[in-house]
Amino acid sequence: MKVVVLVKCVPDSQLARSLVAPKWNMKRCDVSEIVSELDEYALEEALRLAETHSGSVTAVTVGPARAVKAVETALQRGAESGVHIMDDALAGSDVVATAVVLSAAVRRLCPDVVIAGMASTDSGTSLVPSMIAEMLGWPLLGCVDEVLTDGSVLRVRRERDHGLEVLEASMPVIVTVTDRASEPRFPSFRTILAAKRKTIHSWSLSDLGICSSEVGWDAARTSVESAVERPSRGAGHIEKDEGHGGIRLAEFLLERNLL
Amino acid sequence: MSSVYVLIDRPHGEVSEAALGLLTLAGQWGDPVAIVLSERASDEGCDRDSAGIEPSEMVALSRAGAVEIIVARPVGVSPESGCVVHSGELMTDAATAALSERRTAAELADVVLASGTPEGREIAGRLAVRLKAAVITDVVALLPVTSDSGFRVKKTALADAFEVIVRSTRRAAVIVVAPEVASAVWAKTCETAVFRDVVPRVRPLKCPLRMGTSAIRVVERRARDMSERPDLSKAKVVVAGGRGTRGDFTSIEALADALGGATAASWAAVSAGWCSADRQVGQTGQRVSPRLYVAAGISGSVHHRVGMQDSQVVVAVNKDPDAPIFGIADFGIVGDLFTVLPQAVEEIARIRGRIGT
Ligand SMILES: Cc1cc2nc3c(=O)[nH]c(=O)nc-3n(C[C@H](O)[C@H](O)[C@H](O)COP(=O)(O)OP(=O)(O)OC[C@H]3O[C@@H](n4cnc5c(N)ncnc54)[C@H](O)[C@@H]3O)c2cc1C
Ligand SMILES: Cc1cc2nc3c(=O)[nH]c(=O)nc-3n(C[C@H](O)[C@H](O)[C@H](O)COP(=O)(O)OP(=O)(O)OC[C@H]3O[C@@H](n4cnc5c(N)ncnc54)[C@H](O)[C@@H]3O)c2cc1C
Repeated sequence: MKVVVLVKCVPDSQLARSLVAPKWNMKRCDVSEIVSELDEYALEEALRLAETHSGSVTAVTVGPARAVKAVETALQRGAESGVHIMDDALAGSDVVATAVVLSAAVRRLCPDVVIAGMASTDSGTSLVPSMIAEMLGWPLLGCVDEVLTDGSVLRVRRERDHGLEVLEASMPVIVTVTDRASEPRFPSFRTILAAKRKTIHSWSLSDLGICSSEVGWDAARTSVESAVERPSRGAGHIEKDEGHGGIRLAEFLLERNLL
Repeated sequence: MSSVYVLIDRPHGEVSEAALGLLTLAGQWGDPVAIVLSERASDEGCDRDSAGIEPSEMVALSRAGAVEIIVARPVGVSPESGCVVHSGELMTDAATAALSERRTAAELADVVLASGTPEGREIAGRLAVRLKAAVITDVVALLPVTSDSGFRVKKTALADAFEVIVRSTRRAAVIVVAPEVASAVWAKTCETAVFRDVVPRVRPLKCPLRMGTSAIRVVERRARDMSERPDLSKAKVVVAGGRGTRGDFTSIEALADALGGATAASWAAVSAGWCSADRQVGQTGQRVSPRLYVAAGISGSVHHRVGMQDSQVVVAVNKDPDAPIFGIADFGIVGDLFTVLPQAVEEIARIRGRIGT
């Protein structure tokens, strides 16, 4: 079974992030870039599928030179090979352009299953996977908590606000995985060493037969006019419990008319 | 005025409040047209134009301002085939059929509003590809349309830390509104009781299926047992517990009951299996903004805060004085939740007894 996992390189969401004028794109800084945390769950499901069905995992990313880190991370966890799609013309791409590039890569790799995160942790539109599904004419099983297969059909379980669903689809299919799926594994010394011997293919737009006018700032269907930081909520009154903490809490609620 | 199409979702087999809020919002840009997917396949025999949609739902759609209701009924799928009726592909097919039928020279722009649920996002993505449309997510407000600026909206970005004004550079746009914002719009409409009450035109639409819709099969579907406590998204008071509860939610539940509120949880508590997923507040859970949010045994990571920082009053109880949750709390107690919460419940009962409520 051939599995492709899509991994995006993003600024660490635990650190301060900002948007910069004039085009209001993300401020990037090489040191704080990591693989989008939610893509780690996608990677884990991909590895489990491949392990139980003697398959292989290829990790794919689109982004500038530093984005290769996302693929390297995947190789260290056990993915077999990697693809890094990089081209100067890609700067400023919107979701459609990103999906055009990734769907071309998927077409070229011909996998049985594509697994993506439920959303990136930076722009977080959650649209890229459904656009790829539409461009390829594939079904999408979105926001699933578990992926299983008998080798011919894919079976997923997902929990929604209104209940639980178990769904099946034939392959090829694209799946997005939530952070309720299995805990992502850590790399081991052995897998980190093994990763050094694996190849990362570097593809440009022309390798994928994509014209540079289809992507980047000029092709973007949206443009950002302005961005302002929202004022953050300040702290109020904090006190240590000296034995009457619960009473103080109730008094506060009474004072604020919340009882 | 031109039409603004609204994708109506019916998660429990009933039109959602968010969908009604979207119709209200759509009125700011044009004539709202509702696209609803009927569960009754069109080859099941056509009795009414609105077959498969409850009369009460049709009333709600018209009160929310729909000038036209397009009832799409799939051709060639029956419930027995096990096809997912609410599959993204089916709704995308319905919307495509509805729009392509209506695209005339007079209608220069196509605007479609969707709710930012997982299904809503799938449909938005697929539809934007078909319509060659711009697509903007996490939208919190529609801005007035000026002659040549295109459609402009306000969205939030980077875990709500930024508010961004975005413009579509295409004539066609798919606008994905944050579901909690759309629901709040409808709640406000209901409060002020100013309904548009137009008499909508109802139009049935046979919707032929494209592609591999039937490639997705439902093996099992189990509805969630509804809790007796108020619904998390609507509750005026929310009491949330995290890893600090060590799985014992008794005092969280007791305080929620004392305050007539809903219980909620952090990701850590959900992922440990202590609470069901629909209780999770935060980036990958729900966003809530009640009058009062109590966080107990929750550290207050950026991912949790994004789901509750718009609450009117935040109260935190945590053993660790350096927990980030205190940075956004109006009132905080540094202490053990297992002693502080039960004492608060007792005191609330005492105060209520005293003031006689
Ligand atoms: C703050 C902000 C807001 C934005 N809002 C919009 C908007 O409303 N509309 C719009 O058209 N554009 C928007 N953009 C641009 C858009 O985010 C980028 O085009 C981005 O490359 C793709 O979208 P995403 O990160 O939201 O992906 P998502 O759809 O959220 O990602 C889901 C999954 O797809 C895969 N994936 C996504 N991107 C990549 C990649 N580069 N490489 C490998 N796998 C990937 C991953 O598995 C990921 O988990 C925004 C950008 C920013 C910075
Ligand atoms: C992309 C992404 C999305 C995420 N989405 C979400 C989300 O939607 N929602 C969410 O909640 N998290 C989310 N997370 C996880 C988040 O980063 C934190 O890991 C999580 O919120 C931690 O939960 P917690 O506060 O319960 O646990 P911890 O961070 O472990 O905090 C437990 C707290 O309990 C306190 N405590 C312990 N014992 C007691 C006691 N007896 N009395 C009082 N206090 C006590 C401790 O001092 C500590 O502060 C996401 C993470 C990522 C990467």
